[in-house]
Amino acid sequence: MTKETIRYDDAIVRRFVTATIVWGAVGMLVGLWCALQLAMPRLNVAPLFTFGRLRPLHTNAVIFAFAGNAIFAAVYYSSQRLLKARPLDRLSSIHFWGWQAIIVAAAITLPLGFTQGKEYAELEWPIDVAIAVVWVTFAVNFFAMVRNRREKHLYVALWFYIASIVTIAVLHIFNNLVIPAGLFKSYSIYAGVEDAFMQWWYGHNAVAFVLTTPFLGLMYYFLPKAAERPVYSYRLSILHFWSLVFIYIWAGPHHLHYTALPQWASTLGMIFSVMLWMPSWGGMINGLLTLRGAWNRVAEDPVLKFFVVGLTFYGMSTFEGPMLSVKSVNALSHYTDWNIAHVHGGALGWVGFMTFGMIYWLAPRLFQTKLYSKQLATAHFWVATIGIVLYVLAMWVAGITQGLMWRAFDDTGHLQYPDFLETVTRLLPMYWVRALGGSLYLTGLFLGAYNIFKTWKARPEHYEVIDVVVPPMIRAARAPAAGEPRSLARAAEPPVHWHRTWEGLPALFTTLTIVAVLVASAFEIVPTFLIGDNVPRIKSVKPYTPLELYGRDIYLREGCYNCHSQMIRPFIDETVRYGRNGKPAEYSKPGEFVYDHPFQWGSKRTGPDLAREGGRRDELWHLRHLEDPRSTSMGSVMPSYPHLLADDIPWDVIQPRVDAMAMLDVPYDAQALAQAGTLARAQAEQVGKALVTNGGPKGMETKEVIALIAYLQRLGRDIQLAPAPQGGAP
Amino acid sequence: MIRLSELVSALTPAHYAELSLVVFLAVFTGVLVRHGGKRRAAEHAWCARLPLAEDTGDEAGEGAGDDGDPAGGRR
Repeated sequence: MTKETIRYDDAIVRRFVTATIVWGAVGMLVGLWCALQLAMPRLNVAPLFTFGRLRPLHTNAVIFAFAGNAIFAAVYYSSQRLLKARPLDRLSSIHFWGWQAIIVAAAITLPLGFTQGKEYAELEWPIDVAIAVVWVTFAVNFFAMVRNRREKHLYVALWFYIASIVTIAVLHIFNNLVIPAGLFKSYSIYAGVEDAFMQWWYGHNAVAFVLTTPFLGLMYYFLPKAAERPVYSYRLSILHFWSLVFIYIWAGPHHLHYTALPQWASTLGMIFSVMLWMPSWGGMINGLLTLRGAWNRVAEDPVLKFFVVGLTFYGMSTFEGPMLSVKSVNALSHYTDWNIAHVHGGALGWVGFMTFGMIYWLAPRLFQTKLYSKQLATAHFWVATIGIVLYVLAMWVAGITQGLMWRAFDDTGHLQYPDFLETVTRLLPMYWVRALGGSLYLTGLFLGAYNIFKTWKARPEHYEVIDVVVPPMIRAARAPAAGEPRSLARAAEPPVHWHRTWEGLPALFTTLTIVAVLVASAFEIVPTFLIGDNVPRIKSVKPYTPLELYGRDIYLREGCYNCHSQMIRPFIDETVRYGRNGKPAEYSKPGEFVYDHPFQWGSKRTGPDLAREGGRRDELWHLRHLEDPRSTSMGSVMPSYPHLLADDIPWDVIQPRVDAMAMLDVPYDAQALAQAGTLARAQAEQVGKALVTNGGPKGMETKEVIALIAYLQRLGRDIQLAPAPQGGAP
Repeated sequence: MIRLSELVSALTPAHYAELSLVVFLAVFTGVLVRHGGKRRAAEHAWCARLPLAEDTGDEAGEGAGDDGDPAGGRR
């Protein structure tokens, strides 16, 4: 049999490993800064480096730069060897540099306030287009390897890679459909309930197909390599894959329990989230049992230490996730730091440790020398582990404390902690412990970076190029003889198990994966968009005025949604807390949000909910609060926004933004469509006069703060004008 | 002809949850039945050894053909 020679491209893997470490350090350093800002608000440096602008930078850097580059390193290293094929060098290069350019663009634009205002999907449309292009480049490169492979069977790790590649493309495209209103400004084509649904369909599946399935692929390849044992059960891996891919896609609505999302969708999300326990733990068990007979090596091998604890955190996170999706638990946990604990258990423990385990295993092979220091790697492991434990414990305590304080009533039937601020300042000690835990984790990363750097320094002058000789792939049992029908030749092949057949047919396998993902999505998305009763209109709800629209854009730009929700859940403690004059507030209705492109329900309440903020306080209070929150709210951890009092409103951008909203069927009248800037100036004059009447400074009517105040004063006003509902609260 | 919007509007939310559960359980049961038995154990064992063989260009594990691969280790 003629043999073929392949030369694997390890240079691209070295690049992605380096990028993983560099961006990991940047992303986690920003995260630590954010953590410290919550404990020490003076660390907010407006306008560029406030918590609201840095937190998206932190999440995007860790998810798409640290984890993203780690995924690419894993895919390029393992796929070449599993498929016995080399990627296309030019596409690899475009992929690497394109991805790094996107990260740099994100690092520049997010602090500048260019954002879509949707969590984990903040990047504006030109960068989104670039992401789509680079992702397609990656996909073409990957499938070119699959096409040129010499190993017909697709190993289980490759299935997870395929599912990730196709699903991320689908999620990214559909959640980022926008109408541009400028080079770095756009509005989501979805509004309110539908936007919330799409966002968390995307958001949860970003967790699934960026932070879970590619790392499961990584686990299925690198863990057997490190343990020098085959995966415990290949059969279990098949069950693991299909059930995970099929179930995960349904679970997104559990992020929206008790919101204005229809209850059926929320319940469906909860059911499938609970079902996720099964495949998730199947995968964890499969990973841990792969170490059967090798547990003695865990004590001395830092690579296996990282993998074992990473898998353990995977098990813990995938236990905690379904638990948090149960409605009664979610009622307490949602909007609190409990979610932050959950996310970081998965990100630091599962994603981080699997990545570090992979890098330590790869380093000697990529740099063709011994790892600089095994002791240092072990120190990295222990420092980081202690860091995660401190971080997660602190946030568990903070989350449960805050959730209980929000809902506590005293013996007289009044809220025990009516001042929201009290439920924040109580958490400050926990925020310091969190910062300590994060510092330890970051210290571990720096130890690792130093270790890898020293390993790289000891590399040979020229990397030895290894030619791997493989037999060419036999694509059929035998070619048909001259004149013989192909079907006859096929009939002569030995019988093959149906799943093995799929595994050797990547196009069919990929199609089936897409179908599994799309069918599940369609079950939820189609009814959400087509059942008219899901979003009953409220006559009194009108579009934002041009000035309020610009104020809302400032709200997005400053990242206020990172700390404030706009969603009163139908709980007595919430309607009482956000009511006024002793009268409970209306809980939030779907019809209130029909002009919200994008929705701003939020996912965390470091500050109070703002859905009923309009008219609660006068304009001067808002101005003082935005200028220096501690002047009106002693102990507040909110950043100061003095630039809003200094920067002029760019009146000329208002008209294109109103026009863009009109394209989304927001019913602006002819005057707004012709003279939005003039209308905005007129309303700004009124707000400015109200400020002066209350004793505030003169000359503010041209400043950005006026627009933001106008927006805040509008929140919840329309529902107050609605006729009283019949039948009472649910 | 009935429109899609009329069809989905005619169903109650509970129908969607029930339908989705039935679809899931049917698919999962199908995969479980096909893979739950021991008939394919040798074949699965061969597949599981793939990562351990790739650097050298060997076939899946030493003696792959003896390890259950119906096509003699190379497919």
